[in-house]
Amino acid sequence: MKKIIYLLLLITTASYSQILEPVKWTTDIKKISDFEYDLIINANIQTNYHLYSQKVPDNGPRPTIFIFEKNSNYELIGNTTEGKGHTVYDPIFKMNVKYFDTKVTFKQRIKVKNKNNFQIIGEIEYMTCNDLNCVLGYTDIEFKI
Amino acid sequence: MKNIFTILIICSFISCKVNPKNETTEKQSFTLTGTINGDYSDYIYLNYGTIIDSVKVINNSFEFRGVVEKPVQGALNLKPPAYSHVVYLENSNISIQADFEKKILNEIDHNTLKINDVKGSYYAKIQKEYAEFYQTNQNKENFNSLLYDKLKTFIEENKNHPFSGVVLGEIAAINPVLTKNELLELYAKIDTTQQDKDYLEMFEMGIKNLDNYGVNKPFLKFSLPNTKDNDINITSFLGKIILVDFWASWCGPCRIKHPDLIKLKKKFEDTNFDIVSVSIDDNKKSWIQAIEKDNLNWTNLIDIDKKVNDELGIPAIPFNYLIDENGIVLGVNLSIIEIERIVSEKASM
Repeated sequence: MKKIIYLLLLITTASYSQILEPVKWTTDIKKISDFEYDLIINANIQTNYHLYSQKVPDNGPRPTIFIFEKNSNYELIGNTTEGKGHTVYDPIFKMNVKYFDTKVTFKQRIKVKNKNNFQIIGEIEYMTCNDLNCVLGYTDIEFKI
Repeated sequence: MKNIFTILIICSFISCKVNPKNETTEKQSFTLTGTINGDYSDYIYLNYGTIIDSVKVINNSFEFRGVVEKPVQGALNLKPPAYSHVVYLENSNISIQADFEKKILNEIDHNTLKINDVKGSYYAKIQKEYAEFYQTNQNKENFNSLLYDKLKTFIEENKNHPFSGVVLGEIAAINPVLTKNELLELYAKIDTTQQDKDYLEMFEMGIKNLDNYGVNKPFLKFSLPNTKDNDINITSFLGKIILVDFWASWCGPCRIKHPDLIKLKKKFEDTNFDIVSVSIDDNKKSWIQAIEKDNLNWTNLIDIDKKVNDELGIPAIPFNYLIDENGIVLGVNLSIIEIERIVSEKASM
């Protein structure tokens, strides 16, 4: 019990850093060809917090969800890809759960339909948990093409 | 001994770093060296800010070099699957001594470090001092006055250090052991320009919540549907001492605590104590399945659009409020031990 309390304190005074935002998101763009780009979304995840895959079985932890606003200047090609992460059996939910820690990159390929400069607006709905608590997160992202 | 005492007094007024090597010039970079006992010779990773650095552990030793703008919390981990370990980085020579251990989590071997000693980091020193104080005293009945007295000197000595912001932010938002006035008094001492903005925000949020629904304030009155879709008003529990526990079916740390809540309910089953679980699930089916699975035999309410959760300013779940028979808040986010103590004193048959 004493060990757990001490760990709790370390987590309390350490992992509760940025408890409002255990994940910091940054974005980037990579040009693939004249009309194709990759939208790059990086997540920096606070110590001991986990961020979850876009695909999580029902009744498990909440998945990470990317929503890109529709816009006549571009179209999405395929799904948003994600890093390798870790897939482990979770004894609480009794299922295999894929999660990320520390850092993960998501990519969305797009095809540009014209030569205009335009913005793509999106949002991310997600959840992060450590051993002690879970925080729901929501953030807006934008890309300038 | 007298010289060190003098240095400490002077340092607490002009906030210099107490460096065991008595360097007269301020270091502009850090080295983090370590020795790891055990059979490990793969990579070790250090994260801080947006930087991920890695070096190979050779002959049980490793060394990182870098620069930080101000003292920060970083994370050290061995090759994944691994646990993360907090390290407190500042521009000085820091050394760590640790043991390599494998720990099983979710039936998978994880590489972990048992950190035995950290030298050369003032941040690590004061964090350890605070953690030990908290651990030793947190279950004492007069913990709030002990903590306040401790923090008065602690914050005075460390008013420019980012850790003061961490401590106050965390107490205000997560474990409000101190009153709003005590917190504001302590906050007035710190140099906010040296603090992490996130912690300052956390502190402000915590103060706002204490203003609204802190200890000795009337709890929020609200009405939410139960599993049978009937609206239940929380005021229908007046006359009872209730633990209002916020959770969700998708929150692992919440569900792991349910057996403790069941034990708590059983312990006080012949009294006017009761539990009300409020879920922020947005899927009723998942919610009800989890209630059945976890055997939550008490009132369950669902806060589907998180109106109550947001009004209370709950930063993360699980989160609880202990409310007395008159609807007044007895405690915010208490541990099971603290709940048992208060309920033992107050509950009636």
